[in-house]
Amino acid sequence: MYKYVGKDVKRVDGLDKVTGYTKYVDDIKMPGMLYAKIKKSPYAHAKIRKIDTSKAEALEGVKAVITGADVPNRVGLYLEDKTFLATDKVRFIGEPVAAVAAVTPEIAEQAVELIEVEYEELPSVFTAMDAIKPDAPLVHENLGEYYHGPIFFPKPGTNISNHYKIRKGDVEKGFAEADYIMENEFYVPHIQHAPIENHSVIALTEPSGKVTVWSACQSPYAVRKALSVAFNLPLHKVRVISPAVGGGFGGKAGTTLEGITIPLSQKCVGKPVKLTFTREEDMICSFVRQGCLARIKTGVKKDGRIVAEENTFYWEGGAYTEYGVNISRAGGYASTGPYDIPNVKADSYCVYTNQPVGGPYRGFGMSEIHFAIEQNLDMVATQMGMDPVEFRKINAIKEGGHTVTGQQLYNVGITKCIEAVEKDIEWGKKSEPSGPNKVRGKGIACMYKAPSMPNNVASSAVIKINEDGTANLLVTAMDIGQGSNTVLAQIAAEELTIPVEKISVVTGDTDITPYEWQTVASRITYCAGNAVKKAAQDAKEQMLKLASIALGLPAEYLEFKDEHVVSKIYPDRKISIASLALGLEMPDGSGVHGPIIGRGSFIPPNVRNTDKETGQGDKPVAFWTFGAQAVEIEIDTETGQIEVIKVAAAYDVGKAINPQLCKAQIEGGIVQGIGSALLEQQIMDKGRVLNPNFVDYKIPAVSDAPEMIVRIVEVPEETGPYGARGVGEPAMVPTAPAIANAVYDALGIRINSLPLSAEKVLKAIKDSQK
Amino acid sequence: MNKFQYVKPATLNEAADILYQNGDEASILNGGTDLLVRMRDKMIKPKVVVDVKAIPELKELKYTEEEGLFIGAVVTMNEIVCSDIILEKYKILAEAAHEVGSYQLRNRATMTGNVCNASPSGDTIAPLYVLSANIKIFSKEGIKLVPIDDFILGVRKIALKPGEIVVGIQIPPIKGKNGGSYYKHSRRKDVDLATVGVAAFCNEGRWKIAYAAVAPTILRGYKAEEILNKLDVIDDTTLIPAMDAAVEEISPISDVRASKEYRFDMIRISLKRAVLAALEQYA
Repeated sequence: MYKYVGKDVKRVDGLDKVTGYTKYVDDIKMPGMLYAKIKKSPYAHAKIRKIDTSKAEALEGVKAVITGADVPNRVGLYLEDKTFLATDKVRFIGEPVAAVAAVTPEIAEQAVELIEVEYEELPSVFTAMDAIKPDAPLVHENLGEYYHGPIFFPKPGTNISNHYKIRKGDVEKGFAEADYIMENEFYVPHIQHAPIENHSVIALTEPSGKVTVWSACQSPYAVRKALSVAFNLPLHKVRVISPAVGGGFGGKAGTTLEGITIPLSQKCVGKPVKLTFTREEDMICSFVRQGCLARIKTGVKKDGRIVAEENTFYWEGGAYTEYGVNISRAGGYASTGPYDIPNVKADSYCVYTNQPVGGPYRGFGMSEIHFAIEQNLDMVATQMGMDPVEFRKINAIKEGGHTVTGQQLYNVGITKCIEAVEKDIEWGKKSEPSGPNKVRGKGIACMYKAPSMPNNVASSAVIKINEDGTANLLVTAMDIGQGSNTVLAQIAAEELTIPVEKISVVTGDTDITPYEWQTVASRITYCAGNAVKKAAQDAKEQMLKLASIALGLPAEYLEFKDEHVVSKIYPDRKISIASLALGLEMPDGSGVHGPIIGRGSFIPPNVRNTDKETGQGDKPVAFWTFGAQAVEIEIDTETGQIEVIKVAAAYDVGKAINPQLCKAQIEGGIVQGIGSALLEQQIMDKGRVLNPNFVDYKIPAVSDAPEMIVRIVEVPEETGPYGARGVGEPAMVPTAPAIANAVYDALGIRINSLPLSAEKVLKAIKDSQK
Repeated sequence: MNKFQYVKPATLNEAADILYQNGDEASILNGGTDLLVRMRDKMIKPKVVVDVKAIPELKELKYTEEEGLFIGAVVTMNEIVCSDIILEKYKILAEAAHEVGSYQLRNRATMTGNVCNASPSGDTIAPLYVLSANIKIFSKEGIKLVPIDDFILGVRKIALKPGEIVVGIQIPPIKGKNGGSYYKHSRRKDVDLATVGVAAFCNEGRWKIAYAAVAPTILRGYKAEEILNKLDVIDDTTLIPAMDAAVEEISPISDVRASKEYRFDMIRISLKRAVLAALEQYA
């Protein structure tokens, strides 16, 4: 039915990337460019008594030195709790306190060492549970004064920067009706995004005061907004260009180094200032995934129906939670997972700690809570003597069922996903281990996720039709590896009937490309996709009018076909898109209309706030994506090493615009999920990161990738372009709990925390034998 | 990184002169895979970096029945992995060289560099211990051979004086039936450091064992060797006393890679697996 949508179109950015041509921010060199370095806090929590920059300023080659005094405005996407450099105090080890711009990186580094900072150490907190104690030292004494979005609920005078509540049904009554009640606790540690490209920014201030930044960022418009607030600049005086993003995974969603390079560049007008983080800085000073402690109390009937659940999540948000508060909110409104439970009490707390800053990470809270939810489900099923797959089918949200916020759902594909992975992993069938001292096990986990974003976030697209019948598509959706350039070109191609190779996609320049809220939340195919579709339709409407004049036929008798406007009745009566691109030329030589420029705007329809006290609302999110994964693993019982042999994954993506890219996304997610399951943990000692490098922070290598069977389920989302939903983040969510469940299947042992390192597994085996 | 002078001598004499004149302030640049990391991290700040890759004697890789194998100092890990003579006669070395870092890194890294870096987890060092390798050293006084266990003194400490330069590694010829294996236990299958490593080598029924990453230097497993030498049948069960002995011979620490306790557990398993794999090679 479709010509371009649903096809395995090759990546439009592929050739430039595989040939190494793509220019990332750190590749850019400009005449007269200066290099910046940052001075970092050695303390987890301390008052800044004095900063002396005189020696650094005196060093030859140093052009500017800044401290917190130069960047006093508080910024933040959801809660304005941070400054780009520490002002009154430092709140984590590695927090930037000063910065230098110099003619070489070496001089900048030398100058940083000459900056003298006097600190007064303060007591610190390193776990959420310690931080919520009444006598805990406060990370932010002035929390009550911070500006925040209306959907967040900070508790001034505590370390809790958001408390999201769900009160659904009558949880007391639910537990009273339950035949069994079980309680479990789980923990996931902080982990790293580990993109191949480190954070990098160049800032240039022009004599007029206009600031341009070249930033490896996922969200140029959100960054522009934050920078305008931070530096009291009107939006038209801030230009954010994102030339290319070498992997984001959420870590490049907010503002990062822009806030440090801009004030330096303002002191060196006309000279670009570049700051590129080292890998160590990337791992310590930029976003990490927050730690999360989850407690789940479940009430179940004998027939397997869950009738009540009480969930509490404590997020270790780190020193600033400007972004993290929204992760705790997402954890709250998704707190039961993809199951229909009538009575729920959930509390999700975002907690400040003196640790690196927690922020968005692929999955945005879902990986963390599903590690708890999906293991808990297996534990409950085991206790009841039920099969984990059957137990999930009983409780999964059905057609017309309700989420934890009371939203009624239709077009729900979760059961289909469960059935698909059940079949592909050969559930219930034991396979032979590869040798002695090896045991095998299978595990399943489900997930759901909605885009975690404010209700009315906007997208837009512009399509310019060229006089040779090609087109330029302008969007600020960023291709961070997920393939959005290709998918959006396919959507434009489908609508315009112009082949993908005749469409050039231009992205990431706030002076040129139209508004996009952010490239996050698995929302781009859905949100930007809708905007592109509308822009193409707008261009088509303009061309239809002109074609109608040219062909002497009413517009309703015309259609677009193969780069032409064609009569539905007389297919030989047609006019090419190329000849309409600059307007219509009349027989007398005059022209009408002028160039065809299509514009499309989109806001997810009817997404509304939830109730502050109960968290209930009929449509708190744009859509839900459901999925399931089942895994088979083999454990070496002498070493504790786990090998993931096979992963079966199924996702209801509504409509795969590009099935090959969609499957590749899911495969990537599985491998990232395996990393978080088996290897990854930011090891910290009193706030100090002990493994800020790839020597001791291991992500999966190619030999760790298992056999993967990926199935795409397509139950259309009625508001999505061609029925599409997002899948980028959902791809990694169920992997870790499925592996943990497989560990139980193999050994009869539960491990309630990540990672499932060989050492931890071996210890559990030995403990179980005592 | 601090400023330094880069020199690339063409002869051993020239190199020795430069190294002698600059003493502690000079560092030898071989593959650079350890040196550059340490310079970047400011753990060392050499004023002169002496690139030895232009010296012809250091490029040799040769085998003779009389003297055995010589691996020149600048021969890379990948050259070793792909050497027919090493695969045929010293397979354990090729195995160990293949365990070092990534393919790209093995294009630069050298076995001599691995030895001179003297890290307790250096993958090729334990196999060199069990093969009784000698380090061939040049100085203005002449050439000398130092047994590897005398050459490595501690963590990143080696018996190399100013003006001395390692020409390569000399490994005696092996006569009679033999088989060896290096077992590496690490967190990830590829591109990782050893959490624990064991090299096992058997020649005419006599065993040599060496442990990696469980003490400040590679250790010979003399007690385990003694037990193994007396065994008539080697299998999972009869190996237990040797595995117990290994635990007594090591002094591991706890670090971000593993706890001391886990290393004790893994030395047992690694010893068992290395010995059984060596037996499979035994011919």
